[in-house]
Amino acid sequence: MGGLPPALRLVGIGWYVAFCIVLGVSGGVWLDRTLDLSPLFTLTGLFLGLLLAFWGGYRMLMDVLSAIGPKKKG
Amino acid sequence: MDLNIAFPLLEITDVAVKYIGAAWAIAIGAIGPALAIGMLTGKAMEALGRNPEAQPVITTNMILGIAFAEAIAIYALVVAVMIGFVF
Amino acid sequence: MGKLKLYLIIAGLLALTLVGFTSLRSARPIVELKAETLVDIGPFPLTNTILTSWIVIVLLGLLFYFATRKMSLIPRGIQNFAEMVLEAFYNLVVQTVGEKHGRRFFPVVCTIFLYVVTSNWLGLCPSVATIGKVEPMAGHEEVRDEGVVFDQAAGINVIMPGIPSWPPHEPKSITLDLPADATEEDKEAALEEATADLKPDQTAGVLVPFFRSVNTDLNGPLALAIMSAIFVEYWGISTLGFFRYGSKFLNLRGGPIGFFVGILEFVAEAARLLSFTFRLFGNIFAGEILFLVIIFMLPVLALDLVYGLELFVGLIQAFIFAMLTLVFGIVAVTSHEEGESEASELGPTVPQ
Repeated sequence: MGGLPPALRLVGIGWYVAFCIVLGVSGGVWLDRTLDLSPLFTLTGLFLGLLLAFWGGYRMLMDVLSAIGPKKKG
Repeated sequence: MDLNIAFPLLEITDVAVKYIGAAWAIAIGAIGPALAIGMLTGKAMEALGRNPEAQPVITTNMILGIAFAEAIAIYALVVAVMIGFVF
Repeated sequence: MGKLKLYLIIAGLLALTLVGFTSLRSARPIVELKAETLVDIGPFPLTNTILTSWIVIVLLGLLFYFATRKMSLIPRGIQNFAEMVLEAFYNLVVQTVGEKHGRRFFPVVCTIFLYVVTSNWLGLCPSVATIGKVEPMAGHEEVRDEGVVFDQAAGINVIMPGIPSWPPHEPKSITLDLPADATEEDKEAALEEATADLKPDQTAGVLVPFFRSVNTDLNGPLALAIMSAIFVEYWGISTLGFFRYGSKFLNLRGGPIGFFVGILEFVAEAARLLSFTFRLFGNIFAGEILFLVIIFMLPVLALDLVYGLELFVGLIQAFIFAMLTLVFGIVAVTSHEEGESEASELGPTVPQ
């Protein structure tokens, strides 16, 4: 995703965050269904999904900001 | 006087009057704060025009004043929401 | 080339709005004033707002723990960020009330600011108020009056946006319009007949989110308002002494008029508590309702504008709560006689 214009990269970050959260919640709900321990795994899945989403999103956002760089400032 | 006799084509139920009440609550309640915030900001702009160096002090105090005025609008909004959604 | 790009962007935004309006709308908003209970721990109901407030506390604790490990004189990274925030707020406080009182009031006021701004902004994060468990309308205690039809996708109950069509089609919601004195059997019968045409894997229920913004529950702002009222009284009493501060309320010297002015001051204190609570609660709760309604009516484009508004409102409400606590602290600390001379040195208008 390195050379794409920043707008498209930001859209990509949005999709990444949403996808991580949904994946975390789905995994959690599936584990709950098989192990019948609601809602423990749902919450754990949600937490892990959120952590992954925000950490990855933060890294990608820093990349985008440094790619826009000091040209736009001032 | 039964309103359904006076306006027989309208079906004025309890729920309808409830929603009308909620709408009037916020409609009238927002007039005063809107005027107040407008006047406050106008005076702040005047003061800023006279003394541009005092901008941080003026802005801070203006925001405080706006918060007081807006709180009244928020009371009206909370009443409207409670009438509309809770009762 | 610039004009073409501009037109393309505008066309893209309009197309996105159209797509959102026809196919991405959510169901009719169901607004719940009370915070929903997730679990009952003994006699103590664990609501989703308490859970979110614990998350806020853990987040703030972690942020400042990592900012103060291995502190260096020239800050970098997280320490830099924390120092920036604290220094900006400290300068604002000192500029408003002066050095002496500013240093004393700063910890409480800054804590209030950071807590409120973090909890408001956390209420805007992706999974808050959207991910939760589905409670069926025919619940344990009573039949609910409104609900939404959930479909199943990969095992999870989701609210599917409506299919693209004209007129715009939204997910189905079920409302039981019964008069206020309907019995349980009536409600159950109405529910049966309203859900008769659901497919077997669809559920009619209400979403109970796992996380909900802390200040949308009336208890959150009330707790903060009580705390700031207690601190204002404490500052007044510890600076002026109990009797001098109490003479503001129990004014035996000014005759009967002075006595009533004292009682009015007391009423003003109580009214201030309520006003703090409702200001913060009303702003944040109204923001949530605005989100729900905009997602129902005009997603994608208006939603971005409302999101920006909510970011701004969250920050401003935190700032206002902290600043009002500060200002009322100063009013409490300057006693009545020297009030005029000291108050004239200060920046803000002393509110009445």
